[in-house]
Amino acid sequence: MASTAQSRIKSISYAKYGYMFIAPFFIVYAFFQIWPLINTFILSFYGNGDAASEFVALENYQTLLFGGDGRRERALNDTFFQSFINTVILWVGNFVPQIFLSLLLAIWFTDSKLHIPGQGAFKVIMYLPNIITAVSVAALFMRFISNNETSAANQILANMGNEAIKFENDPAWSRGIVMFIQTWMWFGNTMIMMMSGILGINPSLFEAANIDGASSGQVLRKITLPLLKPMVVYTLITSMIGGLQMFDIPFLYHTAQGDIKDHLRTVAVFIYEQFRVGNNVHSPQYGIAGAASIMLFIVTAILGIFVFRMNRDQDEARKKKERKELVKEYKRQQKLAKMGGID
Amino acid sequence: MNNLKKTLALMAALAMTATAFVGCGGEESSSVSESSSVSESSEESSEESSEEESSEEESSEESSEESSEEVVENEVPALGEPDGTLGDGGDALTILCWTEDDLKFMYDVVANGSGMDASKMVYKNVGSAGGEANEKYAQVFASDEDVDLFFCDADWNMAYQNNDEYSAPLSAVGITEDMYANAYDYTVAMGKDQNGVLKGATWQVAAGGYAYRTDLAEQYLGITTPEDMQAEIGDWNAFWETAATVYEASEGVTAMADSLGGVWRAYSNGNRTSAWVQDGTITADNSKACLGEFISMAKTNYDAGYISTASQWTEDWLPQGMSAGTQANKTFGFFFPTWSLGAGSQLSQAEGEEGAEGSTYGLYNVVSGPTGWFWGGTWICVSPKTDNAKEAGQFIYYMTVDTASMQAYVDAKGDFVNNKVVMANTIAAGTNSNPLLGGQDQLATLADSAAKIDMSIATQYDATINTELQNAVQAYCEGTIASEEECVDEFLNKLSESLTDVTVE
Repeated sequence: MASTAQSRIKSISYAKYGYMFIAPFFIVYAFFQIWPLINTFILSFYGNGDAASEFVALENYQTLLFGGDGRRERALNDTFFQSFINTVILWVGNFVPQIFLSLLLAIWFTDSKLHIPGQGAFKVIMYLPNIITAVSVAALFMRFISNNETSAANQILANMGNEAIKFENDPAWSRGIVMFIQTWMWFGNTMIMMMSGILGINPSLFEAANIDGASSGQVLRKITLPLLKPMVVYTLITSMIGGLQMFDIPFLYHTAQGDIKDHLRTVAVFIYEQFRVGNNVHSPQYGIAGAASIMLFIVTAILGIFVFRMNRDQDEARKKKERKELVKEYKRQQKLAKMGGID
Repeated sequence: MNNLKKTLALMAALAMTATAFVGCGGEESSSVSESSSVSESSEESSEESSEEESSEEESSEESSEESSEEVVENEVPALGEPDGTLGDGGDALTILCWTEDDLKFMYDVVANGSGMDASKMVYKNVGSAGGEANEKYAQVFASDEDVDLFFCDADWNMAYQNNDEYSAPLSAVGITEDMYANAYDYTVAMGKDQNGVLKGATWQVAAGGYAYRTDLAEQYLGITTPEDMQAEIGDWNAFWETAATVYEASEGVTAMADSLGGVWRAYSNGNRTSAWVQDGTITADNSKACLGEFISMAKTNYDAGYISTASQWTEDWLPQGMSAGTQANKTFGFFFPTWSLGAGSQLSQAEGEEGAEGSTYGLYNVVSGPTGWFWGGTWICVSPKTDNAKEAGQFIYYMTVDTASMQAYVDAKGDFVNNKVVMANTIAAGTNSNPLLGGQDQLATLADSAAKIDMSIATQYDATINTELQNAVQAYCEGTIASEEECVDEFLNKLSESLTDVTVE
C-alpha cells in the first residue's frame, strides 16, 4: 500500500514546466508564421491598391489565370504565366546538372578503392559557395559577366576587339548564368546529402559484390543507385520546393535596379513586385500578390505529392493496403458474428 | 545544481523570445539634435542620394527665351498664426527624414531666425534612400509615432499631399501661398494637392543643366567658353548636330549624352504639354502626345552612338567622365541637377580624385543645355496629427520663406535655394565658386533654367511612369524590343500592372 506522500508525489505533474518552456516558441510561431499564412489566403480574396478592403472573391485568381478585357488584366495574366515558365526553366536547368555533379562527386568521395587525397579540403571548398549570401554571389557575378562594359567578360571581349555583349538582355545567356550560379551554389550541399546516403548503405553489400567480382559500373547500377533512391527523392522534393520559390539570384542579377527582365522574372519575383509596386507604397497589390502566392503553394503541393507517390515503395504500399483490407474484413465478420449472436 | 539548470533554461527561453521580438522592433532611431557648430561651409548639399531610384517629374513647356529680366523682390507677409485645427503645445518638434546631413544646420538657421529653442527640434531618421525610405515612412505612420513635419522626395511628395490622412494644408500652420512670391514657380505647383491646396513647401531647387568636359570641347569643337557651348546646344536639333561633330572628331568614342535616362529627364520637361493621367485614365492618344518624338529620337541617336550605352546608377555610368580606364572619354557631358554638382556627389565621382590617373578634376563647366528641367528635391509636409502646429509653421517659414535665413543657409551650404531674391543676391555677390567646375558658379548658370521650369502638369504617378518608360525605351534601344509600337505597348502594359487606381487603355 502506497503512503499518502508517495501518492502525492505521483500526482505532481512536471509536464506543465515542459509546456511553459516550449510555449514561447509556439506563441511566436503562431503570430509570425501561422497568422501571416492564413492572412495571405484572406488577402487573396480582397482588392488591390485603394480598394484593398473590398471583398472581390475570386477576381484576383481570374485575372491571373484567364486575363480579361482590360489591358491591366491581360498584362498581369501574361506576366504571371511567363514567370511560371521562367521558374520551371530556371529550376530544371539548375537541378539536372546539380544532381549529376553531386552524385558523381559523392560516389568518387565514398569509393573505398579510389582514396582521393585531401577529401576534407575538397568538401569544404565545394560547400563554400553555399555559405556566401546570395547578395554577395550576385555582386560577384555582376562583376564577372553582366550588361556592364566594365564587367570582366566584356573587358576581355573589348581587348579582343569585339563588341560588348549585353548579357542580361539575352534570354539564353542570362538564364544560363542564373542556372550556373544556382548549380554552383547548391551542388556542394547536395553532394553532402548524397554522401551521407551512400555511407548509410550497408558496407557488407559492397563487400559481397566485390567478392562476386562485380565491376564498379555494376556496383553503381545494382547497389548504390537503387538504395540511394530515398535520398534522391528527398533532394528532389526539397530542391523543387526551393526552386519554385527561387527569388534571390534572378532578382539580383540585374544591373539596373527595378528593371526586371521578362525572361528572368520568377513567380516569387512577380509576387514581390506586386507586393511593393514602384514608388507608391500606399497602393500595394496585396490581392494579386496573395493570389499568386496561393497558386504557387497549390502547384508546389500537387507536385510534391506527385513526386512522393511516384517514388514510394510500391511493394510496401500494396502490402499495407492488403493488411488494411484484412483488418477490415476481420472487423466485418466480428460485427456479423455479434449481430448473429443477438438475433 | 538544479537551480543552476533551471536558471539556465529560463534564460535560454527568455533569450529566444527576446530575439524573436527584436526583429520587429522599430529601427527609426530618434535622437535629439545637438546644435552643431556651423562650420562645414563648402560642403554642398548632396542629400538627394535618394534620387537613385531614378525618376523625376516633368514640366511642360520650355519658355521661349533665356530669362534675363531683373529679379524683383516681392513683399512677403509675416508668418501667420495656426488656425487651430491642428494640435499645439507638444514637447518637441519631430521631423521625419531619411538623412540627417543638413538637418542639424537647419535647426540653427530656424533657431536664429525665429528665436525658437534648437533643442526643441528632434528628428527621426529612417536611414534609407529612395522608395525604401518611403516604405519606412509608411511604417512610422502606421505605428502612430509622434511626427510633426516630414520630408518628402520629389518622387512621392504628391502621393502624400493628395492624401489627407498624411498631410495637412499649410494654411493650418499659418503658411499661405502669397508667402512664396519670391519662390520658383514649379516648387509651389508641386507643393499643391489635386484640389490646389498648398500642402508642401521646399527650401531647395533642383534645376538641371548639362555639365560638359571643357578639354574635349576645345579639342573637338574649338570652344572655350560656356556661353559658346550653350549656343551650340541651345535646342535638341542643335544638340544632336553637335553630337555628330563630337562623335566623328573623336572617331566614335565620345557620345554627347551620358545615358538614355539623362536625355529623358531633360527632354520630358521641354516637350510634354499634357498631364500623363487625365480623369484617372491614361489613353493611347494622350500617351502618344506625352511621348512626342522621344522614342524615335532616342533610338536614332542611340544607334548612331550619340547616346552612351551606359545606364544611370550602374558601374559604367560615372567612370565615363574620366580620361583613362575602360570607360575613358565615353561621354562629352552629363545631364546633372544642382545636387549632382557638389563635393562627394555624382560630378566629383565622374571626375575622379584630383591628381589620380585619368582624373578630370575641375575640367567641367555647366550650361543650361537644350531645355530647362529639374530632377528631385525635397518638400516639407505637415502631419495632420501634429502637436506642434506653431513650431511647424516657424520651421517651414524660416527654411522656405524668410530671406535672411535662407541667405544664411546658402552662404553655408552653397545649395540652390528656393528664393529668387536670395539667389540673385548670391550670384551678384559672386561668392560661390565650385572647384569641380574649375571655379565656375553653377548657381548663376542654373538660375535661368530654374525659372523656366513648369510643373503645372505634374501628377503623383509621374515617378512610376518615368521608371517604366525608361525601362521600355532602354530595351528598345538595346534591341530586345523590335519596334516602336511594341515599345509603347510594353511601356503601357508594365504601367497598367503597376498602377492600381489608374486605368491604362
